[in-house]
Amino acid sequence: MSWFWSKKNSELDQAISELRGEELDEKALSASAERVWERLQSGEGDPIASGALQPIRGCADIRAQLPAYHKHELAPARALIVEDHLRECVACRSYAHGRAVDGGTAEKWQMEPASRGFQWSFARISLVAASLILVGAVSWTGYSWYVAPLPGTRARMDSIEGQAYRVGWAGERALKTGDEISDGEFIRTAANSHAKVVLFDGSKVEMNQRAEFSVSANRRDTTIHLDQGIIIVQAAKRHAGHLYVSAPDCIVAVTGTVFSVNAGTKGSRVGVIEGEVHVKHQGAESILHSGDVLATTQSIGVVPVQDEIAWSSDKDHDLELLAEFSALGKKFNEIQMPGARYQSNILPLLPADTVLYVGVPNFGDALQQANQIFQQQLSQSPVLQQWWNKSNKANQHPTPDELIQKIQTLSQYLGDEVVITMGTPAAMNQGGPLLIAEVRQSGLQDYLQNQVATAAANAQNESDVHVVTPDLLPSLATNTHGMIMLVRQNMLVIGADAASVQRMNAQLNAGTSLFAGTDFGKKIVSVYSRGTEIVVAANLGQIISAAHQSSGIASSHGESQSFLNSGFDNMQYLIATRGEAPGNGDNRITLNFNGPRHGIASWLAAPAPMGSLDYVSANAGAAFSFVAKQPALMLDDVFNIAGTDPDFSKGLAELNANLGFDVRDDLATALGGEITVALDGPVLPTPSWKAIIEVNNSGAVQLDIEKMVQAVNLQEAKSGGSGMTIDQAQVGGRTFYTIHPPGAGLTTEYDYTFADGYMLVAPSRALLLNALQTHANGTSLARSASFLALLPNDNQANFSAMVYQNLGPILQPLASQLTSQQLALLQQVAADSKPSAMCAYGETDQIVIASSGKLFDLNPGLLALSHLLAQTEHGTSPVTHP
Amino acid sequence: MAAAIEPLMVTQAAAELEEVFRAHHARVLKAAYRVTGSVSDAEDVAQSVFLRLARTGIDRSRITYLEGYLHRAAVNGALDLIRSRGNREDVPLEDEVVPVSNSPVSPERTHSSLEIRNWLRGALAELSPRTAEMFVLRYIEGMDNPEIAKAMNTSQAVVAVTLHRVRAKLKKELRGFMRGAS
Repeated sequence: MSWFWSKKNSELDQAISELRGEELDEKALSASAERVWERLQSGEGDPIASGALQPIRGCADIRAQLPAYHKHELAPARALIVEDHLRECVACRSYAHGRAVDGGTAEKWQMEPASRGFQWSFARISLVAASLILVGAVSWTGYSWYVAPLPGTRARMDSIEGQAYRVGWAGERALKTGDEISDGEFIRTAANSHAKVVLFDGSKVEMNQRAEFSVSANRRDTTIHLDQGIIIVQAAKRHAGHLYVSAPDCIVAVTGTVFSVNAGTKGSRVGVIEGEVHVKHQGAESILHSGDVLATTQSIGVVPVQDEIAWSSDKDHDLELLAEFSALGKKFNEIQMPGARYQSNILPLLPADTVLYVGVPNFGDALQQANQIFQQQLSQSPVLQQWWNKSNKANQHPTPDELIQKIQTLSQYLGDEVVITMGTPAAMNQGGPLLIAEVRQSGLQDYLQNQVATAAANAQNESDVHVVTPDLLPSLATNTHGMIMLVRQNMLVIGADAASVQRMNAQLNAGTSLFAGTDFGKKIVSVYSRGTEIVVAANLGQIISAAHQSSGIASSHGESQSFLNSGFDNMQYLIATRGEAPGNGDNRITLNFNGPRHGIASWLAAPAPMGSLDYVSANAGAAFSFVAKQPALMLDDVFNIAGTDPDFSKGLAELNANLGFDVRDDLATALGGEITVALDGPVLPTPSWKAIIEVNNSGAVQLDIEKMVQAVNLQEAKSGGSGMTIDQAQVGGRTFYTIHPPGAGLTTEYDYTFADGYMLVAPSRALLLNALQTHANGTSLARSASFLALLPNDNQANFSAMVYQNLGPILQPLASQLTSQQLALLQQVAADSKPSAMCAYGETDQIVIASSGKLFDLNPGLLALSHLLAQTEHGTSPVTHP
Repeated sequence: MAAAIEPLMVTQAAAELEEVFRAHHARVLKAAYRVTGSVSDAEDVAQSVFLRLARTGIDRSRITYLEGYLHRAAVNGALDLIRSRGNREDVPLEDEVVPVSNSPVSPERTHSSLEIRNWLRGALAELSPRTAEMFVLRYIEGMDNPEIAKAMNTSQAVVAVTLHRVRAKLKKELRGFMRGAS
């Protein structure tokens, strides 16, 4: 009780509020109505006024009741009426006490409506009635406008797919489109039926099958009494009052938004698609924003299913196919891969001027396993078979299955590694890359020759594939092109021209080269020393130099200078590798520079803490963050690249003049270098994106924004277009700004605010509040343990850039708009997709990109998401703004 | 009950009553439930209200006014009932709050909340009928002062002063109640 004592001043209001909020459950209400009606029909007596059948119209009636009153024979209610009157009427009180009032007239009976009964005596009213009627008519006009409950119906059936029924105290009746629903009447959809209902206030309710609700209203508020099932509510904007959805165990209050309520046996769940709703549940009130889902019990945790949005059958089919691919991908992950290699037997044999090196494991066995899995899945899945037949791959020759069989057989002759390499830049225009692999089994030459002969026989023409041994290689003219397969005693070399193969043959004959001793070779060797499955390395410095020489770029001073200023002129090596890490992969792409980075290549700043990530929730679907060097310096780089181009200088001057401020000195200097862009909430109906931008001077930024708006409006006025508006509002001591762009719909807006050195931008204020709340609560993505577990294992405490995706939170809200079959498929896709993160580190002379997942993993959920969004965009009835 | 009444269905008024009942039963039951906190009491009140209406006859020319009339009748009937209930301590079964394990509100808080609601009902029963009706119409049923003044045929000033005094009174009594409870 001490808790209450400390809040005693508000307890009365609290008690009043609770009393006022006590609503009779709609089902109980319906049942009560039935009971009362039955009692009325059966002629049961008045439980309150039993024994008092005669109406009390005045003092005479009261005095007639006094004997029974004194004998305590009156019903309690009637006795109270008597007592109440005695307190107010001196004459009757005296009469009751046996004292007559001489000359006194009995006090005029001030009948309370409940005690008075609904019977007017026009004789008693006499002449006063005329004036009262006049006054009453005037009063009634105001009364009916301001006080009386809204007359008429509460809802109208907009469309019915299947069967819907009106359930009331008089029984069940089938509903049809256009039927109107009165206060207290339930609407119920049958199994496999859906319905759309328009409430009298303009709100729209979409009902899934087996849903049931009624609507009541007064002049301020409208209440949907959801008894069971799932509904999606598009609440109309209101000037006053609320729209309530009263579920069995919670009450949802909104003023204008899109949300779903699922009232089930195990509990209720409220999901917000757009806007903000307040949910009263178990005595507490929760505020939900876009993307939030609240369940009233712990046993339900999945977003509800709703069928009102018409999804095409093609989409169902595509989702099934995606689910099949997703399942295939999951099974492929179980294939035993060759594993990491810690050295290469081929690398030391390559020529010193090698500029491209790709080392991959011998995938023959893994490929065979994958083919077996695919064939098995193909035989079991009609959808996959349909796709396979449609793609006409089964009619190709050789078929993919046959081709894989051949590759698998070939792989049996080869060593653990296959290397693709390219020599000097000069060779780039001559032959191109070579494939080199060790030979570990005899008979390769015969096998290849048999395959070539068979292929030529099938094709019925002369083959340009040559299988040769070292002694026959010189017999090939150097300008011979096609596929040259050189089978040495322990090495297979395949090239596209005889000259390249002959050059490699000579190299192999010479024995160990100096490539492993070169700087480029050493970097590849170091990759092997850490263990790698796949390594891709390119000597960019030599490749670019050769490309420039061959294309004549160097002769153009202007273009060459721009390239130099861009900072990419001194790129040296690009090395990508998939290695091993405990429990996970270790993927790294390293771009080395020949000296400190400069120009655009230096825009990615050194690793630093990112405060902007604290505004992104742990449930975000995607996020991209980076720290860059000062925007003003970045603009300087752009100006340097543009050089002394007079058009550029003129354009920049005009831009500054039109805007009314200097883009570099006024705006860029006011901005910091840290930016985060996130998809943090549902993608429908408006993607819940947010951007968090570091600012050094929020006042200057705001001033520049206002000037930009003025400049845009000036241009729009010249062209006769509508202008851009910028509004501001104070909420909780913080200023929120809203920009309505010209030509955009009423619902398109950009909201922003400034907080702790950051500018937060989002398409709605609710998202900004959500971001601020996330920051205040410390429940951000950056503090999420599951997110931290995704980051690559290395010695870096921070990163310069980060890309994160987790499709679960994105797909969940979409699930509320799918059929059950679609939902099942989507859940399968979502279950197979995993969150991933990739980080980049900007160091002095290199940029390193690292991830702990699959480097180029195609998440099937991305395909599903893009597909769903495309369907929604072109769909028949997407969720719209209220 | 003690007195029998003639069967309703055989009278012409029965059809009218059915129509009125269908249109207004929800409002009457809800208003009565808010005041009494009991489904069965609310049903009794509703029965009484419609029964009285049936006996006195339904004036079709005032059918729209009937809504307001029935509303007030329900409130007054409910107030009558809680007055007659007096200091009864029994709580309707449907009012028993079943604490849920994952509820963010403590059982003590829930129980105390119920106590205070019951106290408020008891306090309303102690007020004069007119004051209690005024209080309920204003704070429980959400009508504003001008509406109440019109409905109760008095001035806004009287309504405002009465409500101010009754609030002060209830606050004081609640303080005493809380002190005693703590």
